[in-house]
Amino acid sequence: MSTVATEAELTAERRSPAPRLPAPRKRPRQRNWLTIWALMLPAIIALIALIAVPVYKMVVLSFEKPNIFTHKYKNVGWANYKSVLGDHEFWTVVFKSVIFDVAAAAATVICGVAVATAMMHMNKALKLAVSTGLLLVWATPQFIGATVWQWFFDTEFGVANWLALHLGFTKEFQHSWYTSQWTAFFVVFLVVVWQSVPFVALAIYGALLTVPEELNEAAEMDGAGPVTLFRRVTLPLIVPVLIISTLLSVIWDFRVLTQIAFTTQGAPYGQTNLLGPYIYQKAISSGAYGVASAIGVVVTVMLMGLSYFYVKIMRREDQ
Amino acid sequence: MTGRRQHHVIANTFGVITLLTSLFPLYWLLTTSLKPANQIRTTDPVLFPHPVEFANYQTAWNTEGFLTSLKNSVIITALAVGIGIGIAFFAAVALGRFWFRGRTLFIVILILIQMIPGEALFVPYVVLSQDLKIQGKMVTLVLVYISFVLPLSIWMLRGFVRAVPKEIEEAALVDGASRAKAFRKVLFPLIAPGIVATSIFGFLSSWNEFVYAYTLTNSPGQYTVPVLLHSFIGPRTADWGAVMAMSVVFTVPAAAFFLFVQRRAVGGLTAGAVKG
Repeated sequence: MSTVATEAELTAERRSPAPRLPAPRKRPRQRNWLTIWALMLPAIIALIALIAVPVYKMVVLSFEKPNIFTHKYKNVGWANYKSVLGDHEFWTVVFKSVIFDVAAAAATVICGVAVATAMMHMNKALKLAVSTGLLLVWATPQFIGATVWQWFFDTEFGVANWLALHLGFTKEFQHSWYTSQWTAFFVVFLVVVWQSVPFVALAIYGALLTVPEELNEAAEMDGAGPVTLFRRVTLPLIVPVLIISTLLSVIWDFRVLTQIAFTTQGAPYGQTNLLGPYIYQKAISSGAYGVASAIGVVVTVMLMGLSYFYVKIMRREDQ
Repeated sequence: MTGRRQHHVIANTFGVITLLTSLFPLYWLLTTSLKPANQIRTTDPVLFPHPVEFANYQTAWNTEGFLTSLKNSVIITALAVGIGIGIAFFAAVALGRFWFRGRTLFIVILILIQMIPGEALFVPYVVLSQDLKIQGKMVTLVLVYISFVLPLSIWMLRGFVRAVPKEIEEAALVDGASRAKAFRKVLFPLIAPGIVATSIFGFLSSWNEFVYAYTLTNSPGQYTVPVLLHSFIGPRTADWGAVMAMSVVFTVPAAAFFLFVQRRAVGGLTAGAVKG
């Protein structure tokens, strides 16, 4: 459709307000392209400069190595990738990261759904208090939350040890949480879950609020118990939000560099260094930019696999 | 009926547990900042500070570098959020209001960006900032934070734009308003609360960010608050009370802002996501 025709159409519409029938869906007006470009251009430029260029740089770096004497970077082909993928330590770190991520995301979603469901049945004041509490946790900087939790598990002055002793769980006086990889991971796990639950809980709670009360009543009238009610009525209605929050949890719980830096700092012996700290050490501490970039590329590709599902769900929801 | 009441009892119990677990660490943070020094590191934890003291806040305020880093944090966050949200708003209008070739592709790219682990990108950021000779300058962090703010903001704002019925704007057009005027006078006021809600996430991701700030700053004059605090925290931390006081001062604006805009913010995050 030409510009002129569109213009004419508009004026025609303007002159005759009488027919209120919905106009047949017009094809996109060509005239808009200027507006669209003007609106999109800043975002496109910013995304290219701030994300595309660094990603490109990361890929380039992943094929390069600095000369020891001249410090000039030169192409070394797949050497960095070979050293990364052939490194036993890398796979150990990947394995730990994936397990940690899955465990933390699962715990987050389960707690989130439980809190959200409970919120539906709480009395009003408590509900307000709980949602305020969740929001406060959400707003608290990760590193501050991590610092406080790290302190709870302090060997000498930690509240955790004191509680365990006084509640009679243990007779051990000063348990050291950071000398075993398992208990050290447990601390990081608690921090991450504590920080991630608010988003999931509030998102799910928001979704639960949209479930019409009549549906629940009808199902109860038909004799559905709470479990059936949840599975057959509530769950299907909140599935989209549930999937999105699960995926986001998986993505977010993968990025735990800050939490580790402020709790275990890799203790014991770097065993709690997941991928974030691992890349960080390679890059900043050892200055191995090439290898670190190669790891970055490998990890990005792995996470992109997840996005396949994400995009699929989005597009289904879009229709 | 008993079934229902039982529900409430279970739900309320669970609620109390949730409340305690979420708030206890924050309570500890706050009370520690109010304790006199001899009640902070004790084998028997002191649950209630007695007497309540504000000396730690005084120390925090006078700590060298605290005010500078606070100023840095404020400037960097304000610039990143302001610029990021501005750019995002225009893009969101285009994405939410017009059909055009490449629109879906753009949205898919936005999703893909979320998948790039932030830890992977700091190497190129460090190298690029060295190449451009802006390492350690405030502008570097502003740029990095814009890259955090932008994708999510476009995403959320698009949801808010789409939630405004097209007809309202069309009515303005029919009444003879120009497209630009219709945006400014009709669409913008309706989305304004959404913009505030969206900016909280940009605010949190910049204000609370540690890793990049730590990597990309070189000297105490450039530190943001998280980096400054990190330099105080460790096995040799001398004054936990002051560290906690600084943490409280730093957390309060974020928490207040978040509580203020919460309703729309949380809804918008998932609405933008679910509505695609």
